[in-house]
Amino acid sequence: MNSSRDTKPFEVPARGLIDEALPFLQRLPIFTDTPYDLLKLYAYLAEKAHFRKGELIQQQGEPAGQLMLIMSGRVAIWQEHRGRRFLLMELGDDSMSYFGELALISEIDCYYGASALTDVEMLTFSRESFHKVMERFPGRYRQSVDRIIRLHIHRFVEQTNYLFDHLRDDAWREFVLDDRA
Amino acid sequence: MRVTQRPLFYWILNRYRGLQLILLLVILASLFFRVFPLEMQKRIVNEAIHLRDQELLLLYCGLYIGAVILAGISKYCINVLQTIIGQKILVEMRTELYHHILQLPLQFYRQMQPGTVISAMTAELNAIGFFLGGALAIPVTSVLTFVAFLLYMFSLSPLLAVLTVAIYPFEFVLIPYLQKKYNRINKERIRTTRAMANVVNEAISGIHEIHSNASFELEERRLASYIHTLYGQLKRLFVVKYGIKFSNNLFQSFGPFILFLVGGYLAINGHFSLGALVAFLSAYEKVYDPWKEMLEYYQSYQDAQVRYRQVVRIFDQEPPHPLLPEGREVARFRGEIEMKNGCFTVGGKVRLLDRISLHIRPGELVALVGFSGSGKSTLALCMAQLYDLSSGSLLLDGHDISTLSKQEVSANVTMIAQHPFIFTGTIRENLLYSIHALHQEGLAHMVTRERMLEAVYDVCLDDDVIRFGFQSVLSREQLEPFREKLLHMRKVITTELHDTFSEVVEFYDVNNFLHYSSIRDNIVFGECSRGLFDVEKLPYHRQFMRLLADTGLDRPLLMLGLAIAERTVDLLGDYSDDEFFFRYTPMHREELPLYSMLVRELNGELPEREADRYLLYVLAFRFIPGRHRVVGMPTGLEERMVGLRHRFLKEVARVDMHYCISRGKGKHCVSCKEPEEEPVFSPFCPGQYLYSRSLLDNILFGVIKSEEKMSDRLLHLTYSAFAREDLLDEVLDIGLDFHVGSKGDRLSGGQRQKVAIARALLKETPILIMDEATASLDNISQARIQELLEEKFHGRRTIISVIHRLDLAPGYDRIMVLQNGSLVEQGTYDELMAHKGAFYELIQGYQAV
Ligand SMILES: Nc1ncnc2c1ncn2[C@@H]1O[C@H](COP(=O)(O)OP(=O)(O)O)[C@@H](O)[C@H]1O
Ligand SMILES: [Mg+2]
Repeated sequence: MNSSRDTKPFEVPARGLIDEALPFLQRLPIFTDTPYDLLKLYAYLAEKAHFRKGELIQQQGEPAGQLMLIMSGRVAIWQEHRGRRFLLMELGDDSMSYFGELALISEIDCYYGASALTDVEMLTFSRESFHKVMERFPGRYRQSVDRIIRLHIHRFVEQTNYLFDHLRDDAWREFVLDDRA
Repeated sequence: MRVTQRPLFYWILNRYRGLQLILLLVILASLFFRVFPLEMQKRIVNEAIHLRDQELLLLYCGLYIGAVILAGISKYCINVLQTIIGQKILVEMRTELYHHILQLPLQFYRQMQPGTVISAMTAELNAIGFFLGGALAIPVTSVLTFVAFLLYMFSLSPLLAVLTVAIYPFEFVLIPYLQKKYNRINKERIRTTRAMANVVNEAISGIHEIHSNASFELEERRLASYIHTLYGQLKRLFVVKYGIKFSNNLFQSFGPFILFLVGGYLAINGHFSLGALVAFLSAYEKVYDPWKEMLEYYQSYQDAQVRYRQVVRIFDQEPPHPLLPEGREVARFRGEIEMKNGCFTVGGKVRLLDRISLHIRPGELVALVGFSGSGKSTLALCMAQLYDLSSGSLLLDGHDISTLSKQEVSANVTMIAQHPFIFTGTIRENLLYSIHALHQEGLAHMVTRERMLEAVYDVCLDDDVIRFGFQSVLSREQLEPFREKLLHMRKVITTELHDTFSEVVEFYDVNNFLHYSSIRDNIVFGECSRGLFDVEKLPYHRQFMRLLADTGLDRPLLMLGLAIAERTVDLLGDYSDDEFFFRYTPMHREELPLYSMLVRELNGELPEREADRYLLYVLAFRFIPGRHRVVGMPTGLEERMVGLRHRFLKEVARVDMHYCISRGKGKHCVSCKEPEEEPVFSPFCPGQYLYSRSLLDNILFGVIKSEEKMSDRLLHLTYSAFAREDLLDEVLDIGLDFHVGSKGDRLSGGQRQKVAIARALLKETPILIMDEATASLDNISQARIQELLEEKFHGRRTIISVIHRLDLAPGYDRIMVLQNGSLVEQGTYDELMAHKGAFYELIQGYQAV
């Protein structure tokens, strides 16, 4: 249906956010084998967000309500402990490019915080949207939860590895980023 | 005499005697005018017609009609006077009764259903009022008229008179019998009506519960039983009522029967003139009127008596405390509280407070703790004179509280209830409620604006109120004092703070395309008070459409509309049952079937039919590029839109944007001549306040980009911008006029408590009693208020606080522990912890949770 539009010679409506989000989602490994119809709906319901370098994306202890997908830029995931802030991992569009996956299935307060290391462009997907979509594809819910949990374990392993890598040098590497002002 | 012990006639005999006397005089005058026409009737027949004297006929007829008219006028005056008197008495009765009712103790209201009180004060008193006005006049009139007509009849023919009135005595027996029956049923009816009022009242108050339990049928059944009972009672009531009417009518028709029989016989035999017979007949008919009036009076008297007794009986109690102190001034106490062996018993047996003795020094900060149900609230209520001890004594500054007047207690003790009541009205009105009451009695000054804002800050209500302020849509009068300041604020935000705000707001700029505004807003660039340029009307606006065609933009917009329709139908065709999915498209959920059909019919071609084009235009006009995801803005269209906007403003809306921007300060660039007039069209002009928009919209002067209108980030930015310009207090001031809805429905539980605390603080009494007053507050506000108690008020006011959060206990001078209505322990936190008694156990239990 779209293709017929695109060939018209005069002022054609440009591509909306959905056209930008869809190919991005298709590329992500976490959405492989997701049916096209479903993916289209995900793309339609996703929101775009920008953060500037140093900006706080997610405060530790605040409710987390969405899955965050990094389109460009780098994000630090950290945790505050006894008044000190520790870096847990760095995310980017090249490596593991998402966080907040647990927020889709459970109303949690975030145990970590996230800050933008560079200017960051993200797609966010809310729990509400996820549930609305799942109502339509009830058969896929179990599968999605399974996928989310596996993603989370994967993250957990990555984080632990990251910490191990830094353990030898200076025990825990303390992370300071001045976004508290 | 106590208001509830006065008999019904007390009100009548003691009120408005002058008016009642006038009424009586009018009645006497009217009497004459009512008998006089009868005499004329007789003379017309006997003299004028008999003697064939036309002049006499004219004279008598003239006198006749004159008397009839005067009788009518006097009757009219009587009715009006009577109603006025009745209503005047009713006003006093209501006022005095309400005054009495409000002072009845809380215990009374625990047992009383609100519906009973409401129906007693309204409908039942109304019915009495109708009776009151004529209570004296009607019987007097009726009896006098009756006698007058009777005498007249007697003068015509004693025999006939005696015969025709001989039947009346029968009625004297029958009617009272029926009436008694009527009264009994009527009493039952009143009881049923009240019960019904209570059921409805409860259902309305608990409508939340009913909806969430879907217990509609249950509630309907509850009411249905009363409806049926009422039906039965009303049926019997009317059977009796019409029985009375029937017997009356029957008796009345016996009269003419006898009259014709005997009177006719006498006339035939020449013992009675024809004229006299005519007059007699009229008199007989007339004599029945007062008789009927007397009967009706008797009925309504009985009815009013029944109602009145029913009303006053329920309120027949002496208020426990006088309103004003007798023979002394209202003094300000130091705030000492001493209780000796205080007991509070309900139902004669259950002891809610058991021999409590305590002594609280002025300025002491005391916590009251204990399990729920241990009597904390009861003790607090006793200290505020809202409950009265059954035995023992409670002294405030050495005065026995039971001897203190309401005013004295109110001026010295403030109680914040567990579930405070918020009155319908604005926040400001609620905050000033207590102060107003004291002010009226001359016991307090009105608070200044500073004092009021201080209280708002003290209870952390400022954020909430500022938010209300931001959201308020101001009227012209409300705006006037703030106009300059707010427009200044707008200027600061759009110029100095432009960069900071442009992240969250897209400012209105007549030369830029607005991505977060709809295409319609982009073109029209203003508001029209008459909805002339609404999206749904625009495609019919001839001038506008011509302009669209002139600029060659009709086709691109149609294509945009078509693309939106196609893609939305494609994407959301299966989801038309859920509003959620339609957030990001200009199409409304219920329109999907319509557009589905259209898309199928068009098959990718632009429509020819006017109606189809209309549908596509509507979608295009609603389209907001920054929000709707299904399509994007066609390239190049943005600039052309701005061009179209300029032409629209100039040619269709006829406003001079240039003038407006360059030197429009304070001037009106609107399409109406008179500045006072509501402008028909106001463009988004920097110097122009938009009356249909909220304060926030006005000072941001643009569209908020994020979906969540009051995002934290935006609020934070705006807040600091206002703080920078020192205008926060102005917004607070505006926010204070926020309407809290009925009983504060539009406030959250926490906000209601904050309002109640601020209201209490403004009263500045030496004794403050708080019954879990901060229970629904967030932690930060709770801590703020705790700090207030421990620092600002410490030593200045006596504070007794029922606390549920035991971690706050260390901050109190003394902790009193209640258990089953007894005071089992008291002391400082450390003492009680060391003692390892009841408090220690409470703390252990609290920490375990
Ligand atoms: N007017 C009343 N009539 C009968 N019982 C009451 C009345 N007021 C309170 N109670 C009962 O008295 C007990 C103590 O109530 P309350 O003082 O509210 O306890 P607390 O505030 O400590 O939780 C409760 O068991 C309650 O049911
Ligand atoms: Mg209580």
